[in-house]
Amino acid sequence: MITLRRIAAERSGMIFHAASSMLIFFIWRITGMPSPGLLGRLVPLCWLITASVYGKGGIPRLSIYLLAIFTVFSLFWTVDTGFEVIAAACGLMGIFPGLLALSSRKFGIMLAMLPLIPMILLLVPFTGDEPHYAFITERLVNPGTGRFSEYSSQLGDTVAGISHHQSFYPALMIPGYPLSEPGIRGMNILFAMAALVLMSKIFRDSGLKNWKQLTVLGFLLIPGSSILGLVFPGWLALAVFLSAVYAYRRSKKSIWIISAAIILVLIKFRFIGLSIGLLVALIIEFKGRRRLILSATLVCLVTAGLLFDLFILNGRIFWVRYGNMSFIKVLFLQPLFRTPEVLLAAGSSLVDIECGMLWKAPWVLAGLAGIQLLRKFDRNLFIWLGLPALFYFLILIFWNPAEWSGMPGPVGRMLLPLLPVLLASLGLVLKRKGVQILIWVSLGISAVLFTHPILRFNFADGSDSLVSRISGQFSRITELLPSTVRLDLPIFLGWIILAGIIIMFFKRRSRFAEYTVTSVFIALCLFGGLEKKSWEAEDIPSEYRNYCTIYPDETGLELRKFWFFSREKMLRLSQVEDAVILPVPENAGDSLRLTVFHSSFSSGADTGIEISCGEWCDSVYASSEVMETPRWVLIMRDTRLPVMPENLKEIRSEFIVPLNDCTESIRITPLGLDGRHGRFNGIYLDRILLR
Amino acid sequence: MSHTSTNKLIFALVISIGVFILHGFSFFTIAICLYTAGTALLKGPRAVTYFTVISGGLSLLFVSGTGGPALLTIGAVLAVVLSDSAASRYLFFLSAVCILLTGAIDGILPLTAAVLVASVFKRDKWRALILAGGVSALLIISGLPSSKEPGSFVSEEILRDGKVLWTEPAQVNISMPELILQAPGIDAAFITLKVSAGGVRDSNLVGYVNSADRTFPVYPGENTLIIEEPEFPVSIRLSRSWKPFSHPVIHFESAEAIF
Repeated sequence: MITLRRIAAERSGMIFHAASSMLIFFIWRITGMPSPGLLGRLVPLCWLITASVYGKGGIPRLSIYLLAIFTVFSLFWTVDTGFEVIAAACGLMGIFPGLLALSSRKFGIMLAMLPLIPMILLLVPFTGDEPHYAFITERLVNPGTGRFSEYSSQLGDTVAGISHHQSFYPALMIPGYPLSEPGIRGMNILFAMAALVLMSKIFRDSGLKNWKQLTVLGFLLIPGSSILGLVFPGWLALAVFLSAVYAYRRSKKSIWIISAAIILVLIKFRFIGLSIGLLVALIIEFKGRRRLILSATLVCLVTAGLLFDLFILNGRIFWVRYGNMSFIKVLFLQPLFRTPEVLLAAGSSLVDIECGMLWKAPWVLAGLAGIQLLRKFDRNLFIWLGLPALFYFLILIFWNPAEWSGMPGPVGRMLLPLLPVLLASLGLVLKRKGVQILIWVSLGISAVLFTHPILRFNFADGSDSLVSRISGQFSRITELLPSTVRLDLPIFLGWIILAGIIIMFFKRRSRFAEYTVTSVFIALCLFGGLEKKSWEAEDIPSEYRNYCTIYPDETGLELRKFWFFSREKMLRLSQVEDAVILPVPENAGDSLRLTVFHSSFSSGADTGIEISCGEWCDSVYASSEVMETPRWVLIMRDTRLPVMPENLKEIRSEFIVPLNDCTESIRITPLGLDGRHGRFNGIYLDRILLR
Repeated sequence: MSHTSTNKLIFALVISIGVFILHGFSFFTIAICLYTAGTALLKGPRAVTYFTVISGGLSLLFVSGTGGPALLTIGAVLAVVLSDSAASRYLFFLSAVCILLTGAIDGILPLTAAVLVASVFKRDKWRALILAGGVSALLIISGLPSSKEPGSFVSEEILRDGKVLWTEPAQVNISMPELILQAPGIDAAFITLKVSAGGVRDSNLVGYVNSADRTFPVYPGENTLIIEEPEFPVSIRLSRSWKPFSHPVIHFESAEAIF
């Protein structure tokens, strides 16, 4: 009896996790929540695995609270469609305190990752670049078989025989190939584990007190969690980068850094920024004559590498894509002609609703606040983690300001190399007031993306899948959130300034930090809950329109890749039956000012739009001209913009709608559709304002 | 009252004024204000304060729906268990009462009663026990809380080549018990619907497809329904309500109407 009591006391954490696993399983079934067969089993399984690896230790208090939140949310899941998402996320999040507690044990970091593995392997759709890399692995092992060949339509560049993806990374996944998708993903889990172990050792060596917890946070938080265990090269690159830093800081042998710099380029050319950063850090480390010799050696090595690529590899790594005039033109076009886009891309990495870290990982604000402290705390660590991250980020933004985020890949995957420096900085401000709320909100978002991985994917159309799922179609909040695609400059700049203020408060240890974060959140919700008076046409729900189509209707981004003026989708009214029927806002008064932003082809016939409300009706006939080709496009190639909807100038039509006879809805219909423009025939609505 | 508490109360007051100015007076906005005051006076773990702030804030986003009142109720239930301040607990209880008076959510009376009883007790274990009892009573007496006006979803229709198509898959479950297909201005000859149903432990009816006064049953498994001369809107409805260990669902796959 005494023994049993002692076991219960010593292993109360383990018993709690096991019991909670059963509790969640039964609550899921009693409340009838959706997906009982998959999510309803995987979440309890995560708790059970946590129990099995937990060992001795008490019950994490936070887990109890999260379990209670899960229970109450699951009771209310039928009330709102967003609640089942929150309930499932809270159910999973309950193990996070346990995982953080586990980190202090032997092999704790690896053990802490185990409970999440089934969820990653079974829930995340095998899509995007993943099947493509798997296909390359397959081609290396077993050319002719076709396990992954059905995805061959996703092959990248059209250059014959030259794939957009390099073969080095797929080659490293060969050991996992016999086990198919789980095997290939399993290899990536190993890469992530290696990177995390190295990161923890670097943190430990530099004297960060909470190094184990920080490392676990590294894979629980976005950007770490976004591609954890998925077939993307980010974690492997991080492992190579961190192994070089760790080995060099211990042995002071520059061969580690040079080798890593070469390997990073072989993994994916995108990581050249990390290579450059590592080499620059190495040069900074060296003094006097040694620095000169090293610089000369590096120049020789780069030249040799380029010649090797040109003559031996037929330019597969560099020359095919970058050894041409267009590449050189881009180098000077970006800073001279596309400065606003480059700056916007830099800002969007923080505040954009689809891919910005502020919305997916607000802990990054605290991380940024701690960067200066890191410089003072350990300048060497700051240089070794910070410089590669900085070079990587700048090259990423500079090279492709419109597509740096890699959408529709999982949000944050491109920013993974910034993780070590941000985590190290976070470690120095972890105890400050308000930082914990940012971390727990970030963990919550991460848990949502673990349980509903489909919400990781955004399509660069200005709307975020997570916000849309939680707030619904009728919320005004989307008007207040910053988006690069649906750019509203005051909102965008306002959020950057706000983020800057919050970072400054955290940095100065101000008591206002917590109040500011809370105020911003409350104000956003307060104004976001007001009645919607502005509609992005493509967001208008189907109950407010008759037919109409979204242009372009494909979800892929490729089609909008060369839209220079805006990458927003549009609502197309191309048949007489098509119409938009919007409700008249409450408290609208006697009249309403309706502004419609639209474009249509010049067809010679009278094309336009008609607005009607009860007995009243008015119309405007207008057609759009094609926009002028941006100058940088003309420099790149002597070309004219094709006459397509995305290149048309926008028409702004204003109507004053009397509301005396009309109280219910306003109808917008197309006029004069003659079908002369074939598949592009129609009126393209962009935005509708009701004031 | 401490300096921090005064600051928090002023902060709550500012939020309340903002809520009244922007959203007007209603039981819901009064509930928000009481909830905010309760949060300001809350004494307990920091995590609980964070949770009440987040759920209170998010409830503002759902002013027009039932999500907002539900979030406030959830926040109030948890705060009553975990707050050591009696004043704060009473405020949360009053907030829950206001939500009850809005009538937005069906079946929360047992839970509100449990919140009242629990808020009186000093020991958190008793409060937790009473609320657990309240939850059990809720399930036994009124079942899961549900929205007063059950949600429906209008599927997106596409007009192409003499056909109206609905290609977007959707789920009809207890949370969203109705899916509507509409084809304005079209007199269709017939409509073909592909739906599958499941999540139940018997082979009885899961839901039905409704077109004017005609009703077609949907049984567990794959169903292809062809309705001649349908009258729009055609709706797909769940016929089952909540029952433990049952997860009724109708997966709408696609539909096609030819005219």
